[in-house]
Amino acid sequence: MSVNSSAAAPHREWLTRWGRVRGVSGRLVGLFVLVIATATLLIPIFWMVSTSLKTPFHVFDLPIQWLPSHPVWSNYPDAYKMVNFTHYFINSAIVTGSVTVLNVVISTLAGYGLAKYRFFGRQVLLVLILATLMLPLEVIMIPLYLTVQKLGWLNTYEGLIVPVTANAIGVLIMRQYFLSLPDDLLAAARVDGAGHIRTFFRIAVPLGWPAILTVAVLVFQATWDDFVWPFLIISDTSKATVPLAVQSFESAETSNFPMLMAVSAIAAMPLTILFFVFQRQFIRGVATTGIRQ
Amino acid sequence: MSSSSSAVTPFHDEPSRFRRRWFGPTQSFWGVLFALPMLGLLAMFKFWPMAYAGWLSMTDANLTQPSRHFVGIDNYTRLMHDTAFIGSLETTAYYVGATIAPSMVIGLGLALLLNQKIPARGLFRVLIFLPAVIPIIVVPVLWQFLFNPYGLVNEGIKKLGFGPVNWLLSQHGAVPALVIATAWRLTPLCMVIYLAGLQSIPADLYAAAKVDGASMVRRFGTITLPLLKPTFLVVIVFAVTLTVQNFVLALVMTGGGPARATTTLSLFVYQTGFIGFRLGYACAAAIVMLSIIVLFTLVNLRAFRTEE
Repeated sequence: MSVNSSAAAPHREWLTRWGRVRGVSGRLVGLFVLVIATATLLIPIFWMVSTSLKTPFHVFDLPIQWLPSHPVWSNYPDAYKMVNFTHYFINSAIVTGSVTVLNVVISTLAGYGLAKYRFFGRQVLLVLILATLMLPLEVIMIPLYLTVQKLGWLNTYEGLIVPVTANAIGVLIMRQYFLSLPDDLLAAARVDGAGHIRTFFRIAVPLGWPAILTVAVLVFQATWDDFVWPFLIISDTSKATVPLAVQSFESAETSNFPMLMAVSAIAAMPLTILFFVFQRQFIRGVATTGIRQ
Repeated sequence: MSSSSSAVTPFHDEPSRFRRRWFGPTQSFWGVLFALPMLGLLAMFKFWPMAYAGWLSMTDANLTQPSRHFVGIDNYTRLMHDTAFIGSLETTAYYVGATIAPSMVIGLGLALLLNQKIPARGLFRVLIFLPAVIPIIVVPVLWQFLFNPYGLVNEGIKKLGFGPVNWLLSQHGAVPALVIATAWRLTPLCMVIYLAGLQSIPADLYAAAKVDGASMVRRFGTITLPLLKPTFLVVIVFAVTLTVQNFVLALVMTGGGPARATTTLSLFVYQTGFIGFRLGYACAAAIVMLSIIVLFTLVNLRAFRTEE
């Protein structure tokens, strides 16, 4: 190839130029496809917001009104009041906050223990813990319900918090992170006279922040979003979370579409804001584990 | 090798293996201590319920009756003759297959596009991920509205020259409606996993192939696809598990109807257990569901095992 290169120079030059043109046009086609695909995926969300600003009479107007001519902004305060969102936001915040803090602490401890210590049966333990990630709630929802009932936790915060905290996804992430942490650092701390607990808090936790944040965001999102478990054990509105409020509003107001969409948009807001602040953690959480919940 | 190394080991007066394991210089029990809180929680709310589900599936447990009797594998044999259960298996196969195929293909396409040098790549990634951020309970509420007889989907179909479809209330429309709504939320998740896989492929490989004159299609076939094999495994197991277990969409959008057309396996478990109160029977169906997930994962592990 290199032997003929000088002889075939004009030909080659033409080829590279053609290649460049093709590269640019190929990239343009790619961009075009990407724009179309993104727009298609976002239509439902756009339509939700657009409908939430209409009056019930103009929901099915033809031709399609992509933007309401007179946006009814008052739909939002009305929807907020009708559902009494403050109450449910507080419940969701209590439950999600507790689960996130508890799970992050317990997962960090477990991930550290499994990554940095050798002990008899560690491998078996690890497999058992990771196996729970493949066990969907739907498989064990009946015995779990009976267990929680026996504990007297139906319609309580404990029932919403403690069983949900038993989630090993954080152990997986923290363990992987701590495995990449050089042992010398920990050994140095220990030589300096720090005990095991002190080494953990002084060295491992400060260095583990990126992974801890990923776990926190992942667990927060999953818990805030959880519908099935609260739906099973909560029948009393005083302990109900936001998803339950949306569901009961939906079954009561099936055809008041602007209100339904406004309620949906309000319910979607916290996670959307969280996503824009912590995009990296959101995406990394899904990408590195591939297994959620 | 191991025998010779043990022969030269200078520590002949080491404590016994047992002592070394538990109290040796590595201070092993600390590892267990750190893991203990999580282990306790998992034992209580994962392992115990799992064992309990296995036991319940062999009893005639009923939420309305306090006494339970051991019935062996009666529940399982009855499931095999239950047309509602067999129907739910068929529905699940159709629903899962139809959902993950487009999600995986479109997800891969989007990931490949986003892996190019494209302007505003970060913005596209964020926007495409948005459907996965919408709360799971909002998804069926939103799509129920879109699939309204006069809704946006039917208007779009009309523009393309087709007649309107009665999506949620007809047997042939309800499952496709569920499939579209589920795929809408699943695709971005698949895309993100693919993207992570694509980014782990070293760029030098592509550069080298380019120098050798390999075309784009060839580079895709000989570099991207083989190196993406482990990612395919993760995506497919993730997508199947998520779709098999999910019953929120069917519950809210169609309630399992019309005429049980959208009663998937997980919805069958929920309805049998929490509406019909037949806990033992529902647990047997739940165990079948778990077996399907585990079996599927194992088959995939084998099929996608990288030859190295």
